[in-house]
Amino acid sequence: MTQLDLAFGALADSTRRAILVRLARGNATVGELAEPFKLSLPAISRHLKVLENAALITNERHGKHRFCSLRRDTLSETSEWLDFQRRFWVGSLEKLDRRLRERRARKPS
Amino acid sequence: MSENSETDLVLVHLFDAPVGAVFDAWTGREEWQSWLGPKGVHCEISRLEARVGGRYQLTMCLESGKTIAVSGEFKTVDRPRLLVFTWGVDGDGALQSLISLSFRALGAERTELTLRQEGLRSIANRDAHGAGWESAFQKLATRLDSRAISLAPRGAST
Repeated sequence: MTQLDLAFGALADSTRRAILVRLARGNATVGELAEPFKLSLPAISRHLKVLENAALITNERHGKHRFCSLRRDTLSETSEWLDFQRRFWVGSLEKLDRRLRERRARKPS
Repeated sequence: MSENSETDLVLVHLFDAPVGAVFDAWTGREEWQSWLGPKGVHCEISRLEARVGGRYQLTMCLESGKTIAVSGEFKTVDRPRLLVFTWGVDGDGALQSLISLSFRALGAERTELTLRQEGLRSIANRDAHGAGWESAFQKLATRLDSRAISLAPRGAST
């Protein structure tokens, strides 16, 4: 599974998207994130784990609290670069395929 | 535990051609240049030394007029089984990866090629840049919507 697949999987949930939008405004503790969503701490923790696994957020303990922050690098760069690489190679192999076919067609068998 | 596998790109492609011809398509300058790059991207290869320790240099010319300089070094050249080379954007230490090509003859005129590109994850370690992320998020969200549509239950429309 690619990073992009993990990111898409993580984003396919309205609560998790809302968490990311909230974190775009600034870092927050797990408690602060749970409050507006009326979710229990274990429930919010499960969502945060999914986002963390997808490298969309970091979730680190500082003293008594855990702070979450957005990984903007993953959101922008990973998706664009991976996407470009995949398109580049898929397209290249298709072109190579055509070239090898043309060559075979030219060759007397 | 290696976490790189998450971001590896793996493509498997079948060609109706002998394994030697598929391999050689990667190691000759004119041959490589004739097909490298998807539709809309043309690659100018200025240097190609397909031997262990040899280097290549190329310029990707995108439809937008943008150009990207790419270069790398051949790590393994084992005709017609295995070809390994680094693949990186010049001047950007973060955009480096390793490409491994495994060629397998499935018949006289049939070859399976497995392309694996690894090391892409390192870009996630780059420092976050505030500007630009919003639009990237929007793009991601838009694509998420299009994917959601494509994942709609197919049976429902019958």
